[in-house]
Amino acid sequence: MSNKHVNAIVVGAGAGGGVVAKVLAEAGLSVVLLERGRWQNFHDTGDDELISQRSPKLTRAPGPENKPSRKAHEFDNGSYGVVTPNNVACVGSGTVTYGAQAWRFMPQDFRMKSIYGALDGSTLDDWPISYEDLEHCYDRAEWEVGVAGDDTANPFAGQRARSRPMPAFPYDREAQLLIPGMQRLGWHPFPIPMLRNSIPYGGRPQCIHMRTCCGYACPVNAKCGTQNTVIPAALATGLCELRTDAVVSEVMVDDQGRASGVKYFDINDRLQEQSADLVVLSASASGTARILLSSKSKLFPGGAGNNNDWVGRNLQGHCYVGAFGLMNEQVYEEAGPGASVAFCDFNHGNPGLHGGGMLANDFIIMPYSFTHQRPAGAARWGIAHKKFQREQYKHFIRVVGPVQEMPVFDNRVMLDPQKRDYWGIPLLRTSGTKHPHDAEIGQFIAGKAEQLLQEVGAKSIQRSAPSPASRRSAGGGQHQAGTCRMGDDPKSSVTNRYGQLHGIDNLFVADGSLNVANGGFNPVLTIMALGFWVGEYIAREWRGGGRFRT
Amino acid sequence: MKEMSENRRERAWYILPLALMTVFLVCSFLGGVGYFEFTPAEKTCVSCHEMNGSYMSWTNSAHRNVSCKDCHGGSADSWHALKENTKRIFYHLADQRHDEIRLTEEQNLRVMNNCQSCHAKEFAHWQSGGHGINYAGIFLDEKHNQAEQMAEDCLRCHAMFNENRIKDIVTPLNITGPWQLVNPAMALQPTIPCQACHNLHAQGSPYQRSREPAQTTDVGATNAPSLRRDVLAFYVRQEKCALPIDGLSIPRIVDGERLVTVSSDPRQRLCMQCHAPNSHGHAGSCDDRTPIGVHEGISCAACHKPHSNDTRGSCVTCHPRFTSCNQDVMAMDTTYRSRTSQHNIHRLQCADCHTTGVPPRPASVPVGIQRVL
Amino acid sequence: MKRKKEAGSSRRDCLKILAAAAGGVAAGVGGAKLVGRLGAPPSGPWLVLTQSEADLVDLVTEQIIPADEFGGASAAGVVNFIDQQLSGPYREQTQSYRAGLKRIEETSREMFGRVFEALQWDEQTRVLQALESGKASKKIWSDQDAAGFFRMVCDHTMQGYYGSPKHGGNRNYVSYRMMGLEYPRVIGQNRYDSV
Repeated sequence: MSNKHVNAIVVGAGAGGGVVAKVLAEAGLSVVLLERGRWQNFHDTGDDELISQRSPKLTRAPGPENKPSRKAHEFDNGSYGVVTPNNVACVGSGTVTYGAQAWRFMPQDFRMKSIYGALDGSTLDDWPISYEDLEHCYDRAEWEVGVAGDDTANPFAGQRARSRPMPAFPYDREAQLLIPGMQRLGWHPFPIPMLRNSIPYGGRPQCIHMRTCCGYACPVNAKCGTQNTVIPAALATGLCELRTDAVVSEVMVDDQGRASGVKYFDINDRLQEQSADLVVLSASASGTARILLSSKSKLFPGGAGNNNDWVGRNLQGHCYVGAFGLMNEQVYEEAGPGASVAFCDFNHGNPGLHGGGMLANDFIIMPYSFTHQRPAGAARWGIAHKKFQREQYKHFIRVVGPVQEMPVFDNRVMLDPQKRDYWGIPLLRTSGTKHPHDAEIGQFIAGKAEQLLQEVGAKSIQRSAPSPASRRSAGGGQHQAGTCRMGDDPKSSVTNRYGQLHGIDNLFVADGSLNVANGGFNPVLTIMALGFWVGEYIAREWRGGGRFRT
Repeated sequence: MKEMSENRRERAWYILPLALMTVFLVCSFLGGVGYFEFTPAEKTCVSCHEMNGSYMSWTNSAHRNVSCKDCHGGSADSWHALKENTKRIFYHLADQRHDEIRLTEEQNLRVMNNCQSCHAKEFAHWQSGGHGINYAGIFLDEKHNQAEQMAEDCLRCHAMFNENRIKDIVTPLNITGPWQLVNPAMALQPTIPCQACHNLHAQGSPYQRSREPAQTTDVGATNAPSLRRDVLAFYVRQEKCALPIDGLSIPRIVDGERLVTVSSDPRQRLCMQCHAPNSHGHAGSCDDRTPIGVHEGISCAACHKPHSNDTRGSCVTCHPRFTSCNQDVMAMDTTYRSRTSQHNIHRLQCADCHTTGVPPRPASVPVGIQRVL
Repeated sequence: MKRKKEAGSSRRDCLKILAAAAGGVAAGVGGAKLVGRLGAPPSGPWLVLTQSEADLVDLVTEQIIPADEFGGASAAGVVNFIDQQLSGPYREQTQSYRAGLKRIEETSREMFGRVFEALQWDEQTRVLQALESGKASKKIWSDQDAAGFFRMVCDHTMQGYYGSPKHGGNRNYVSYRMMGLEYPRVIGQNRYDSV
């Protein structure tokens, strides 16, 4: 079966790809948007904890059930095993089930090397673009996808051209309890920006405050993901065709070194070829790298754009740290989702350390997951465990945040030399060891969470942060980034500042793979902003003479 | 030619056994259908283990005197029934586990239509009231659809037995419309069928109304059935099961900081599954109609009839017996008298009428009325 | 429904007898799925476990979440949850369960000279503590990690007791009730005109 030639193929209908599809379709390009999952929503998951993305015990994260994607993973002890990644595969991808924190990176996050200098064992560098370059893209993401928030009380936020389209959510009970403590410590609390409707927006209703939000689809569509914003907008142009259940195996690169299209397996596992003038990969830091590595051609024998061996390198996530404690009074309320207040006092300027991370109160933790939350020495089973569950659930408070990980060259996504997946594509394999700085700064930031809990009078405080002594393998789970770093020098990056592959000028990357450093924040708004950044560049070039046209 | 005739002869060999086989199959099929059709379902269907659960619950239910076929129809009542039942036999023979069998929406509605053969009055009342609303009434309501985009959550309280997504029921899913049902034939189908609030297989005794008036001095006592019966159960779409009222929680309702007294009438829990407040439990928010003010603590069922939800004439149940000011409550300016009144009957305060101050209670009126209703 | 009226009283009598005969059984087994996962959990038939394995799992999980004012793992049907999941998502753990359960019996016999079922409550606790701490006989647990097995059963027990009732456990919504959580969670629709 031959598919009609189109102007652009976008691989992956997630945070980055959904945005790119919209920008290109609105610029008049014909677009095919390929997604390995299918449409999924509250109908599929409900508010069932055991099949939520937060604790997917009885199912994998939303995605094609019968053909699971798997990966070879290096465990902390150095051994390899095949695991099923807990990443969402559906239209909208993680934006269907995320907690929807809508962070802009701080200006400093783009200039890590200039500010802190090099770090031994790390490929830490500056982004080739600045916060100011990306500001209007953040703005578009905030308005076209929808963000509620208010930076007035956050002195560390970068400059912005205008405010967000929706007012911030009111503080929840936990926030009201924590804020006086933060203020006494001289810190600067403010409401977490959220990709969630605080008022009706975009034709969708306001949030009804489910206690099950992070890890679950929204029952009323009040959470703003690409599946209910930019992707419908792309489809409404009539120029974008979405194909679900389409698993891309490789980008076809011709002997002249140009991308001619992609090969993918359709819903019936038939291998299809789709040709296009240009290709954009938005398949996540691990997925995009894997596709590039699989795309071997005459000029790029080691995979597309990989002649300098940088594709798949510098895999980063976040070192999630924090602390929990027990309050005398009840802090639980039925109105969710939990995460409400944050502070950025420790994202930068921590003595002797590179970067840092934001801290916030956590999403509501549901009963099963709570069974694992115990202070050191507490019973793990038996009547005492049950009693704790019953008496302390509503008194439990937790402060957590994502700490920047330092990029390491050998933390990487590669192709498994032997193992293949359901479709016969080489398995993705993650490998490498995290930088010791991650644990060091993780302990530092967790200490701040602990300090805050002490300040508000919590008991039985338990810190959670990796031990500097332990070996920890590179992840590739949530918040994954960095594998197709953007940069001005082709020898130490994969794409240029516009996500265009060095050496293949009609092949682009638009997702977290581009992140040079991953910020001390949930990265989704930055990925959306990069979608606009890359999409706008392609549209501009296209209008300026159609230089990608074959 | 010769070859062909030989072939024909060869073929002839098979004709007789084939015919016999066909006759046998047709006979056994007809026989099977006949057996299932004319033998009580309590003997036929139950011979499959898949039916055990349903059957056992039925034997202990209030409906145990009503035969399976009376509600579910016979095995060959319709082409649909024949198809479904034949499929079930195949599943059984293939040993596919189908212990958790459920009725589809269509089957539920067929069962529901049979309710009226015994419960004609209740059925008529339900049809005449708000809960008798059909698909067109719910999903094509322009005023609602322009205010709020429809979502999966709608199906929690409407069309809960429909196992499709909202997008497969009504289109487009936006606030501009115009909206239409994906399957226009569903327009007149009910969205809140009997089984939304009644579990027909729930444990209980066949109900017999006492002919004698209640022998008690309790003002609230009647000879009506007990308020707490397992047959009163809310169908929880997400769990795909009916949850008896005792298992339902009562949302915590607050009026500002104050905790609102909610009636202990167990039936109230049923109402509140859908007539629910916002996530903070603010009285009067969202779909909540829990009374506060002068009617606080009174059950929905004190004023609303159970199937029609009709409130006409309900005031006299308590008034003037329990009125503090000896006025004709039915003539007062409230939403009871006129829908457009500023004074919502669910939130009525003394000060709504006594704008210049509430006069002291007349000596003739008892203090501290027990809200028994 | 004319047929009903034609149906003679003999059939109704017959039904009454049937109903009476089945009544006793029905309380335990019948209609579990239809009446909202209330009442005692069904005690079989099992999808994966044998009856004796199920009995043992029931005892072990009850140790992990014992009854107090609120039912424990046994009343919550955790064994039903585990049996159901072993026929589905946890299929790969079936062999581990089979082997581990046998070894619990052996450990119990070695420690107290009796099978687990015959032990006092405190003795059962001590067997499980031995597993958890890795102090159980290495001879019995030669090619299986006792602590790992116990951790797995422990985790499955928590899932069965605290997860959604639709997976077979948390019968009568016991854990939600115990923790004072509203269930099902009910939130009204936004009503912009009335707010």
